[in-house]
Amino acid sequence: MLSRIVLPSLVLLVCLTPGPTPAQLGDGLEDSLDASAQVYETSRLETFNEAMFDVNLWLDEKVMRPVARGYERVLPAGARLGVQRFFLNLGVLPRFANSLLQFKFNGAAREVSRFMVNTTVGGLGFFDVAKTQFGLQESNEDFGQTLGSYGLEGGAYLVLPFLGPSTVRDAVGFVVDGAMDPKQYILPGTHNLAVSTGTTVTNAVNDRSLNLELFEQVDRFSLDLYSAAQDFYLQRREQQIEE
Amino acid sequence: MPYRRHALCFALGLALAWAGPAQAETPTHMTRQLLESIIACTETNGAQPSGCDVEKIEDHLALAQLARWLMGPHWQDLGQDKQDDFVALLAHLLRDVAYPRAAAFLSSHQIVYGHNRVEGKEASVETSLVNAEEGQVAITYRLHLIDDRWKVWDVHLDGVSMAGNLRKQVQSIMARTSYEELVRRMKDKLTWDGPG
Repeated sequence: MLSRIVLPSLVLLVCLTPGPTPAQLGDGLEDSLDASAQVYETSRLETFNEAMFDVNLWLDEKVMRPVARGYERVLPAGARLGVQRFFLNLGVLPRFANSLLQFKFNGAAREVSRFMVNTTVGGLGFFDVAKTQFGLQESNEDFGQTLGSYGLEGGAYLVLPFLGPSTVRDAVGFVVDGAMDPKQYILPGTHNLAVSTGTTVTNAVNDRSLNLELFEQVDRFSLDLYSAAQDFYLQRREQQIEE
Repeated sequence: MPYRRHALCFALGLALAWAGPAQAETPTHMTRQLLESIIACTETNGAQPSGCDVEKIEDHLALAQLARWLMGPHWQDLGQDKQDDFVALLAHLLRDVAYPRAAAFLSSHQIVYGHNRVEGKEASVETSLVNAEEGQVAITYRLHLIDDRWKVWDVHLDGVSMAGNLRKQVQSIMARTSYEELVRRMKDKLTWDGPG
């Protein structure tokens, strides 16, 4: 639902706005000391991003965290990890397709094998038998990474409502990956809307419940949460694309 | 006879090599010492923490250089007093916030040392932290050669530079607000009592 309405308009809006290139970290401490490089650059979208960041934090504090805490009390950690693995198993199609698009045939083969093993022996994916018994790691590829591997820069940094940090490239990737969800082609419109909303909300609450302490630790260690989240996201994506 | 001369030259060469300037300990050795010192912070004697030698930990870190790197172009504008205050505050923050957390994390994992790479005065040491429940986490330490000793100045957690992340935060605050605001936020972290 979100991917069909909000994201395309945002993407169109920000595609017209030139974004900053993320500043490179120096190769070494001494080089950087000599260069005294400025690593902070303001973006034209900063006002929008910061507002969205505050909205997301507010939503998290008022809605997600309390719901996730309640959910945590009802469902034991083992069951919540099972739910996480179930949703991971459902997301096989984009990972498979993007592995192929990046010519990572080994990764694509692993995704097919993992899906077959986990859907059958792993009880619809609640247990990751493929990883624990056969050592088959998931191939975590998405369309944003595929575009990045083709040399496309991330473009403007974006904070999306509900979804958090992204870039223009990764937002486009998110929409394309969403289009690979087979539910929308099988289920009629209203059913698809209900099922998609249900699965998205359950997945989000489940993930949040598994990361309650992590979020608090990030808050504990950050001097500036907005720029910490931005830098973490951009560094992580760069790393994922390099891999 | 020629063999004896060669043997003598070889022995002399070896002796000169030993007698030459002291070589820095390897980056892996220094990293291992640092991690062992941090893990020692989890040792307790009754309810009191024991075995945590902060000076020993700081001796393995390039704190003053890191502080300067974090500030980047703002460093020179600070003046000597504020520079000294910033280094002291950074050390205090690491001592109170980072070491206890790092000690708990490191002591709950098995540390496997991997490759190390040296390029001039820069080095990196790869490690894997293995835990039966959480799987494997890749951590790379970046070191810099200072006065013939390797000192750690950055930690890459799954490819993300922690010092780089902190640098972005520091420079964001400096660019948008002031040094005083940065100091206020750092002091707030020392008296942090949970999320709002």
